[in-house]
Amino acid sequence: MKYLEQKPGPLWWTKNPRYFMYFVREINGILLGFLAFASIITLIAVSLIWKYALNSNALFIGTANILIPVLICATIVSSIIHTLTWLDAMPKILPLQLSKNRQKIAYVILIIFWLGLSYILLNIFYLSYATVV
Amino acid sequence: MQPSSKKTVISYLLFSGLSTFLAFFLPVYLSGLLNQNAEMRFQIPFFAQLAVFDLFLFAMLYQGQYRLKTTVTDLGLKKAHLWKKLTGISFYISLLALLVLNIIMAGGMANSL
Repeated sequence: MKYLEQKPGPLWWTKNPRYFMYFVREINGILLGFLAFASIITLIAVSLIWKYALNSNALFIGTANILIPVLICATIVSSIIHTLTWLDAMPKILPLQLSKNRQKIAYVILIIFWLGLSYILLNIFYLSYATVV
Repeated sequence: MQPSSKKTVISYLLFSGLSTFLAFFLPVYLSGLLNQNAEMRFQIPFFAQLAVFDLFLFAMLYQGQYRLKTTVTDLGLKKAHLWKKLTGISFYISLLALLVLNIIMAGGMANSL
């Protein structure tokens, strides 16, 4: 019966918006992993170069000062996408059988909880944003 | 349905736990790192900061490799098992790089004391 077996093509997930969103979430998660790896390698390179060779080189300092914030910004964008997609998936993967409306309500509650938690943590750990002269 | 092995269940639970942790805490942690003007309310010991930094990087790497493995399976690639092995190896290489980074940072801190 092997000749009756249907194998999907590599782009089967683009035909349905649900599968597409699932793949967006997965690919973003993979990207987050790559960004973590890139951050580790960049930090090792920066600390080794800083220590042994170019600590007085203005070009090197300039590159490091641009590269690290760019990496952090890319990771922030990816992490926000991760948060939004994962909190959307959470009510669906729980063993509770929630209706679609309840899943939407749970998603909104989780987003509000995330925003509130972030605000509280920023206020606990950091002073109000003062400009340094 | 095939019964799930213990290892599969543990890795799935670890993956979902770490993903939830990242979803709630990673954006706020990164925005704190990015804002140069913000001043910390209290002094946090260097090794505690390093432990938190490691936890975030480990969580990002673990969920990345888990998702890469499931995506390889979902795409129905021909040599899926080979891709999975490569993913596993690169995950362990990343952990080794993280260990090297820790040694460099802890060494730098010890020298400055």
